[in-house]
This record gives sequence, C-alpha cells and structure tokens, in this order.
Amino acid sequence: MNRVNTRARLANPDALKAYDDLWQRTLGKIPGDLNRMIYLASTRDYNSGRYHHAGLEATFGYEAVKQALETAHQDIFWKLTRSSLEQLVGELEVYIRSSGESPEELLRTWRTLQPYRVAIPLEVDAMGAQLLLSNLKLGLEVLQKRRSQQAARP
Amino acid sequence: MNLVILLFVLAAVLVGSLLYFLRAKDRPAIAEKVEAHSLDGQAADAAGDGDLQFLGDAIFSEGDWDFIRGEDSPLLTELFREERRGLAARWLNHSAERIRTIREDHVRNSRFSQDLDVLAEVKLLGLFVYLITLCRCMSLVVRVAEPTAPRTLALHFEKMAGRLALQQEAVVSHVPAEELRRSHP
Repeated sequence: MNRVNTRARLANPDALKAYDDLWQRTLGKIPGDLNRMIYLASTRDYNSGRYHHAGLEATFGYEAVKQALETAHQDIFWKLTRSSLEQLVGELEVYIRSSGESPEELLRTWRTLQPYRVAIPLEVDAMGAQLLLSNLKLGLEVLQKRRSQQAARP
Repeated sequence: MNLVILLFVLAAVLVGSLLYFLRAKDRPAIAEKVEAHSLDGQAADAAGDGDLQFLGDAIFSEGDWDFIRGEDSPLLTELFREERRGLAARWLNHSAERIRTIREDHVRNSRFSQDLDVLAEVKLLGLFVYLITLCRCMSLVVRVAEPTAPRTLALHFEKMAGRLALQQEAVVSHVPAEELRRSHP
C-alpha cells in the first residue's frame, strides 16, 4: 500500500498506529487482497456501516480504529479495482483455496448470491465499485468454465 | 465503421490543433496558473484516491480482452462484451455529466467576472463542445465495435477532461472570492 498516501489521509497519529498494527498482526497474515477485503468487510456492521475491532479498540480507541479499518478497506478495494482481470482470477483462486470450502460449492454460491457485493467499502466511487463487481463476476465465470473443462476431460 | 472512426479522428486532430495554436498565444499566464493547480491536485491525490483516470483505461483494457479471448469460450467472450458495454455506457454518461457540471459552474462563475478573457472563453467553449462530441462518438463506437475499440479515444478524453478542469479553474481564478461565494447558493 502507498504509505505516503495513507499517512496523508490518516491525520490522527493513533489511527496510523492502528493501521500499522492491523497490517502487521492481521492483514499481513491473510493470503491475497480479495481475502483481506472480505475480512475487512466482515468487521463492518451490516446495518450501521460502522467498523469494529475489539482487540484494536482496546489499545487505540474506537475512532482511531474505525479510521484505520476504513482506510485499509479502501486501499485494498482500489488495489483490486486496478488489477487486471487475470490478476483478479488469481485472487479468486487464492480465496477459494484458503476458504477450506469445496470449490464447486463456493463457485455456485458466489455466482448465485454474489455475496462479494457487500464487501465493497461505503465511501468509494460508484464507477470503481461497478468495475470491480463486473470483473469479479467475469472472474467467477472464467473459473467455472475452467472447472467444467477439467471435469469433462476423460 | 472504420471510415466513421477515421473521420472522427481527423476531426479530433483538427480541433486539437486549433486549440493548441489558440492556447500557444497566451500560454505563460495560463501555464503558471495550471501548474499551481496541478500541485494542489497532487496534494489532494496524496490525501485520497482522487485519481480516477485509470477507470477509462481499465474499462477498455486490451489486456483483459486478450485474456478473455485466450480462454477460448464464446459464452465468456459474449459475457465480457455485455459487461464492458454496460460499464462503458455508464462511464460515458458519468463523464458527460462531469463535463456538463464543469460547464455550468463555469457559466455561473463567469457572470461575476469583471474582466472576461474572450479568447480564453472561446477556447473553453471549444473544449466543452469537443469533449461532449467525443463522448457521443464513443457511445456510438461502444455499441457497434469491439469492447476495446474506443480505448485510445477514452485515454485522450480523460487527458482533455483533466485539462478542461484545470483551464476552467485558471480562467475563473481571478473572479473575486466574494462573488464566487455568492454564485453558489
């Protein structure tokens, strides 16, 4: 991530510390940016849209952690949005491998319910969000097609 | 179809050349202001993800198109075409809206200017018309050609739209702040 950019946006020093801590202890250990985006979206309340992380809040306070989580979520979103379709298919493969679920089931669920739609940060450009959602949809179809081809081979 | 694109590119080159020569006359004054605004823009970008110029590039990406064609699946190719046409249409609407907003703001602010630079105003009007025409032409190309066909036009559009915003700000920057505040209810 662009640290200069992040430093400029996180004016609160505690938020910057929380951001660093979040990367060192949590995000850095999660494989793949898509995985990271899904994780960060899971720290956000579905109804209020507020981010929560009990462990970090105990050290840095609610406001600083909220800013850190929101910034990390947006950073990763933009990184994925700037990725090529091929890179995004790679991210999906990493996500599927690390999920522990059967690839067939996961692909079926993701293609049908499109749960990745709720993983988009709230305050991002609508066109950027539409581009990423469209690329994820295409990426899932690419993986589905590859699986079908593999299954059809004798 | 190729003839239409060729004619459009020729028209674009003509308008571009005209604007270039018009701009060359009073370049120092505008350039200084534009540079100052560019630096402000860099600071704004550093503060957030303000740079959305990559969107046009990404929507009309040749790399993505090659990747999908490499999968050798007519269904995937058709889905890609459909998705990118939808995105391109939204992006073009969004871009045209952005240009219209800049123009409306400019017209509103110009009403309060004490010393309008007629040449600068004519150049801006030319740029507005050029960009809106470019949007319409790209809309047409998106409907009938391959998903990546308007890529060069889209990149050119983004460049010119960025220049328009900077020039428009430079032209109205001499309008008294008090008048600008009054013009925005």
